[in-house]
Amino acid sequence: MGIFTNINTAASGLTAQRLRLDVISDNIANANTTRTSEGGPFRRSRVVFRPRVSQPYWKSPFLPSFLDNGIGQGVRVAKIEKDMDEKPRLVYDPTHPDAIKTGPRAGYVEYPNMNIVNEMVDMISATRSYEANIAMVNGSKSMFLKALEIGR
Amino acid sequence: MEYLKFDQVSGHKLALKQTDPRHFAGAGTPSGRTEKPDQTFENMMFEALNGVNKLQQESDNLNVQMITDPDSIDAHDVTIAMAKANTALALTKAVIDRGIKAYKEILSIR
Repeated sequence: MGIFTNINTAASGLTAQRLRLDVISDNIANANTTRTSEGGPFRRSRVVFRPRVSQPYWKSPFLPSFLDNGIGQGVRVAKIEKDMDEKPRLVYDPTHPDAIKTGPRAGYVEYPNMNIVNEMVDMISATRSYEANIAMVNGSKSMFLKALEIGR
Repeated sequence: MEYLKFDQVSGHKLALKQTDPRHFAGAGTPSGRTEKPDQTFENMMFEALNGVNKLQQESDNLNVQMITDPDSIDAHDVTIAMAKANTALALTKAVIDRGIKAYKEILSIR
């Protein structure tokens, strides 16, 4: 427990939310992208977070419970993955250069599997989380400055 | 009256901290501690001041980096470094103020 432990923890949250906002803006920018280097339409990305701990997190049959890691050290990004669960959105547009040429879905264009409204809601959520972390930093700083007033 | 001898004791043996060489230390053991503490107050003070200085320099470097290369850095990193430097300086100032206050108290003894 140092002076800056909680500030560092909140800073990890700030960085994580910034990254989340980067990913969301990439999704929104590519809302109409029909062509990617790996083929097919653009797939929306999503960020997977996990807690940051100071030591390995493991469990064995000889231990009754997880090793005690104490309080956490903040958040870190486990991975940024492509959302392959949802099918691409189909829009009928035979004149589009990326329209499907043959088969039962001929004439349809595959658009990214994202909903701009959902992305905007995610963006608001990321912004609010960022603000919460900043409130955390300010709170911890004012708490520390209050402690300096003891006995003055 | 029966005293337990040092050899008869089992388990952890901890040296008692003795501040006065005349304190009783038990049979067969030299009394008084001549060893010095690892760190002097002066060293500790200078280390702490170095830490504060490092935080200030870090904040300065981030400020410069923010101006010269804004893309390479997040805004909150700069402000957090500034907040840390500010907090550390406030703590240092509180410690020094308290030291000076104690000195003045001693000066005003009459």
